[in-house]
Amino acid sequence: MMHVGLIHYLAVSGALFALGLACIVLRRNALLVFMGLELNLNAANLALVAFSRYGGHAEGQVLATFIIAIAAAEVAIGLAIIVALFRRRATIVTDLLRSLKG
Amino acid sequence: MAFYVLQMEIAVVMLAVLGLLAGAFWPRRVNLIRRGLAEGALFILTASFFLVFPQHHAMFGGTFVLDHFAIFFKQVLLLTAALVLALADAHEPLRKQGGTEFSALVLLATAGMMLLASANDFILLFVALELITISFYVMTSFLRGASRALEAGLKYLVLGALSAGFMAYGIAYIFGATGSLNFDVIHHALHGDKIALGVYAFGFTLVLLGLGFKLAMVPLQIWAPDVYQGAPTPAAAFLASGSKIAGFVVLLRLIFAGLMPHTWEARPVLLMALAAITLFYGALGGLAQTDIKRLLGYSSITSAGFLLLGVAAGGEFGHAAVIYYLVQYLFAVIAVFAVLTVVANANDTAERATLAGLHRRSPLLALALLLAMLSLAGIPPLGGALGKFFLLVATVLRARTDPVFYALAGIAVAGAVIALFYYLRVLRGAWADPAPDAATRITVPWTVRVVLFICMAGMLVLGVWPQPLLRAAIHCLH
Repeated sequence: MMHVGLIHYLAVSGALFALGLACIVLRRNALLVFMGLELNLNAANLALVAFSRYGGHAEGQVLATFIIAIAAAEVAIGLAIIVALFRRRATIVTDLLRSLKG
Repeated sequence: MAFYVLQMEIAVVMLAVLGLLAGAFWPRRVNLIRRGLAEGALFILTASFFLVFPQHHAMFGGTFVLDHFAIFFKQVLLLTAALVLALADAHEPLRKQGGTEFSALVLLATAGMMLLASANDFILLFVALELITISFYVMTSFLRGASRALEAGLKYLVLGALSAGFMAYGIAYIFGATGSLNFDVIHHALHGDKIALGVYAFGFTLVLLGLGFKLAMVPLQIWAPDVYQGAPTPAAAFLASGSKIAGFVVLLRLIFAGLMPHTWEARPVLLMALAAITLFYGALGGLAQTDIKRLLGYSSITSAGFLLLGVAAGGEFGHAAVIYYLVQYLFAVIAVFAVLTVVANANDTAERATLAGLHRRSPLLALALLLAMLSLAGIPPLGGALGKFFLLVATVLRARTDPVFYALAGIAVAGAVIALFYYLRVLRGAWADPAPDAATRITVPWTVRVVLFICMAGMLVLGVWPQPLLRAAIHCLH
């Protein structure tokens, strides 16, 4: 039986962060980009909790709780903006949002 | 518990809540309430000079510090907020939308910035930073009838959340390397021999990148031109002034707390490279712009490069120069946005052509624009000239021990010269081009007139009489 240690948690968290970044860069749908952003924050949460568990300091878990609350606030506002944008433009494909340029 | 150390922040949040409630209960008096909020911010600023602050170093379990540096910037940020609130009151599209929510959001973001100035712990730092950023998401997309504002809001949101992700991930690794989130404890741990410096430097770099979003620093600067162009003009004004100031306050705080990895102290290569690239990106990108709000986005990136130069050069004088530049920059940039608030009222865009013949249509606006653009370009006797001069002096001082900084100073001068060109082109539009036949005289609301006079006074005083502010800046570094 393999022993699961800090390094395994960090590997998973790093993979999550990389997947989140890939999702933000590659996806063209605003909702999926948004999903990638949430993945990034949760990767950070996992790393924080793992460090907290293995380092024996509780502060990391406190910050993780705060990040969960902040991510929720961000989702609320982000979805509101996406819905408002969809009502005006009838699209949320990021490639088509090019009215601001110089 | 010593809650009275939070009295300024509590007052600002109370003001925001009162504004929201008053707007809901007396919907017919919204204009009066909005102006009241601007006056309220000014009142808190005035009152703060008479408050006696306790001189403990750290409070609330070491998460909150109230030193001269924090108090100085709280006052600067309150002044910024009061000026922006006055602009929000005069901005026609926001008035049409009605309500007091925009002003309340400005105040909430200000509360976040003020908390940030006192943060001595990564938890408070992250929460305060997100309080600012989330308020700005709403402010940039506040005119939800305009698809430009919504597009700007979405772009700001994606990049903002991305930078928050970088920041959180970086904080996690700093926590992993040092076992704490408190600046003092981390500083202490860094002097021990038990920590993995590589892990720590990785975390710190990610935090720096996350902060770079607030500063408009390469590589997280791409939002600035788009968002400045699409956001309501007062929101863009606050982004350019308050948000940037708050970002640099945190950066300086991290350095003062001794959190920069030791390996960087001999020569902060990353900071130097980012400063040079940021400076050039802003200077070159601005050349092709015809929309003035967009141009200011690039101008803001150039300024971030200049400020990073001072941060990289470091030393007491370098940091004082950064503080000086931030304060004078706020007057110049708010003056430009105040002019645009009035000129670009109808659809909130500001092509260079809309400024044509401004000196005939409104001499006051044209004069304010002249002073502000010259100050941004760094022409004496205005604040911007001294701001740039002090930063260059700090760089050259550092170059005496490390000649690489001479190259950096050269890059800064080249960037300033390129930027000079686009600032002057805006002035040619306002002063030399003839007004279109249909153009009428512009009436300037008195709130904007007050803002313009304050900003012009600020630029002129800081351009000819630098000693008081410079002394205050050096004082607040101790």
